Amino acid sequence: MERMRQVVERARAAFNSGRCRSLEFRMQQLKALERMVQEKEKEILAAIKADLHKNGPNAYSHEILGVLGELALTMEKLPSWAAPRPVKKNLLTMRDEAYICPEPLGVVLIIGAWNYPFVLVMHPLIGAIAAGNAVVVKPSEISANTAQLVADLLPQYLDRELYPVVTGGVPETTELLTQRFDHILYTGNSTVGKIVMAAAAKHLTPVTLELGGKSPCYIDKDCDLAVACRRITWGKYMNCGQTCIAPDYILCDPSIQDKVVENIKATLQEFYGADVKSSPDYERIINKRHFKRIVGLLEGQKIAHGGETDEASCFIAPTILTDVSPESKVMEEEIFGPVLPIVTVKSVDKAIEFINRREKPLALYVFSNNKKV
Amino acid sequence: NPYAGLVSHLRAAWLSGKTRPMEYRVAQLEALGRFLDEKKQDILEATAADMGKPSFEAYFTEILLCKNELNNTLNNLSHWMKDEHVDKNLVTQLDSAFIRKDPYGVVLIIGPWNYPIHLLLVPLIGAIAAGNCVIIKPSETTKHTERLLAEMLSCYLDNDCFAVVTAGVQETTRLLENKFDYIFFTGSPTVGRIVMTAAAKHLTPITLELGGKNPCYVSDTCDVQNVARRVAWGRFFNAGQTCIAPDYVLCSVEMQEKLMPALREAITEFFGSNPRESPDFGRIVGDKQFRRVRALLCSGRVAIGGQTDEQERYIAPTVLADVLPSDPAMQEEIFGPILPIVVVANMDEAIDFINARPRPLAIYAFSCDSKVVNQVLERTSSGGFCGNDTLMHVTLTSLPFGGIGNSGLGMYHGKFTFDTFTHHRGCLHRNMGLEALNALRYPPYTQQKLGLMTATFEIKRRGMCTLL
Repeated sequence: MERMRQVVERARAAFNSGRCRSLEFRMQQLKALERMVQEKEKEILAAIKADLHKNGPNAYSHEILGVLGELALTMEKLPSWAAPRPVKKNLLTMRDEAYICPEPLGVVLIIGAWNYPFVLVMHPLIGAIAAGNAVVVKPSEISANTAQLVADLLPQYLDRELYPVVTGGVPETTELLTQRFDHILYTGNSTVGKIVMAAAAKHLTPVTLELGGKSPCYIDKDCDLAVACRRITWGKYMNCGQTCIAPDYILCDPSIQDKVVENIKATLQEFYGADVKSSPDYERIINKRHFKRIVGLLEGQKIAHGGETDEASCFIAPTILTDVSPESKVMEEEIFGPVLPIVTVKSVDKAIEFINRREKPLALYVFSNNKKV
Repeated sequence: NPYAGLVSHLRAAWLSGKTRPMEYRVAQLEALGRFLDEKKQDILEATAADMGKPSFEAYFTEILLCKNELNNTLNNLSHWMKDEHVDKNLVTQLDSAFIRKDPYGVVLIIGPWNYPIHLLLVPLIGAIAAGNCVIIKPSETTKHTERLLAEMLSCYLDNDCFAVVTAGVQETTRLLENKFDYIFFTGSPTVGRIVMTAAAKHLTPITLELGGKNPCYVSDTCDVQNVARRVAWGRFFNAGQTCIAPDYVLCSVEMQEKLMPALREAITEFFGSNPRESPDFGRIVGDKQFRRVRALLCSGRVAIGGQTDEQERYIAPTVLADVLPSDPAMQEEIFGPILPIVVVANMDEAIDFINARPRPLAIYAFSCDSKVVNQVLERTSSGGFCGNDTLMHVTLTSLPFGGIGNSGLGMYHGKFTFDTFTHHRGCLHRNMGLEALNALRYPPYTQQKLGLMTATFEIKRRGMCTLL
């Protein structure tokens, strides 16, 4: 555990040396990251496939395309983002210079998640490097292949002292969190989010917490159901439901519930064919623990479609539940799996009331032709 | 939980949507303006009773600066509230993409005792402007101001949405057990940690305006009399009880020699030959604080001042010479009318001295040579910075005011206050039609679809594309 302290101290000494302050240095590191993504594309896709059963074009569009875009945008905008911004002056300061000067924070900790294991480390890393910080990267151990790859690749392309990668599980992360950072960015669940913030509080470290919740999806009676259901199917079952902004559950009028199910079924057929299990485009649950958790949510529910599972391969078929009770287990926690409950409500006002009674979610979806709705 | 009822009452008001319309917020803000106008005398009397605050200072900080923020907010509110439309990419060209300025909900503002009205009202203005319901917790140390706020604010603001809670340490701990949607705290780093730990239990976002020791570097090339005046003003304002006051001076031994008579002259100019009789010099807020500050006097040697009177909680404007880093005055934020001078050989040594210590709320550098000022700025880190003056950078509403590291997190003043209490909600309204264009992103995934999508999604570096 001494190792953690040494890693952070080395990063801090490297930051204090001042070498990551110049824009040239930051650009050079970002360019190196870009080369890494381009040169090691095959290895990155292979690691993601091993972790999540995600195939080439899918993984590329989710994890690589966005990263390359972010790198290009950041490198283009960096000079203007990093420049001092003059501000409006008043009578007393008319003859003075007044401006806001963007400065790096120091040593930043980025804790990644397992569901989009590459992009959720890379996106924050790009910004942190661009802003001139030293960064300790801690990828999620649950997506073990990607974690190992990140640990192998970053030192080959980036400054080793400024941007170290730390691997490990709960004990290593707990130890890491006792060190002092100048900002912590954590992606994951609310329970651990509270632990991260409490640890940060000891050092008054600002945090960015990208957490989750149950993102509601309201379908109005007045909408093109075929289109709505296609878009919902795409968002829900992508990555086997393991997306923080996936539509978690549907709220709709009881009169359209059956039509919603029919449309989603039809779209599933379109996307994955008759035998979902053999579609190269359908992923798997990350591990046995989550597999068991999700299967447990099906207990006592009316399965309108799907429900097939195979523990050996962590396969859960795209599943739809109807007439779900708001008090049931599947409506308590974030599902993070390919199970879509439909809760019926009599009106948009009831839907809004339902949503407002619960914790604020990460995303909210509404499908309606009526702009007012 | 003694405050559960109050919090849920405010939450119900919040959910009713009462605070959302601009007209409502403007009405509440205008009422705050009337409070400042109509209760001006009461405010001056309360702050005088609490800590001997000179009425000039009280008027300037507690009334004038607040009204400035209020008017700035009222003038710009409709613009700040508007949806901010953002750049779109090829795929979203026909959609509506914007940042919606949502209030957080029920927020808690905890104020300190040194500028007891200002440091509550300025955050409050932003919180109301942003559409939140607010629980206001003034400092129990300044009893007259606390009572004034508790009794009078409720006559001006909507009691369904805004409540003043008077509470000591125990009760504030209980108050912090409740779930708030934002907590804004001004006070010491020690209590800041407690507030953040309590907030962590509910994942409540926070702004912490804390403190530290604000260094003031004086180079050898400067207008000594001007420097002395500006530093003395910043140090002795409110009897030194200012979070951004220059806490200590770093300069060469020659400059210390030159500064001393200049400081003596400035102090006499400001407060006369016996500052104790000047109506323009304040007092320490309480006995506990008085004793704490007095104990710092045994540092270095007293070159100017040093007199104290426990009865009045008076500590004379004091300058200590040849102070060592190990002296008591250099171990904690002084928050009193004592200015230690620590001798350093040169600017590099001053910068190293500053960087070896926790990041302060403000750093000051005085020099006729702008290169020196810029060097100090570039090679150090602090919440804010002012070259060739003290305190003035926080009177500009266009500059963000906040700390870094031990001196705090978050920032406010002007639009930054509105932004602090606003959740910037990313929104995209898409068209139900044109579904065919979405086909590229749906399974079954093919290399061909990917190629087309790459072409539409990818942001290319400008100036990097080769013409075929």
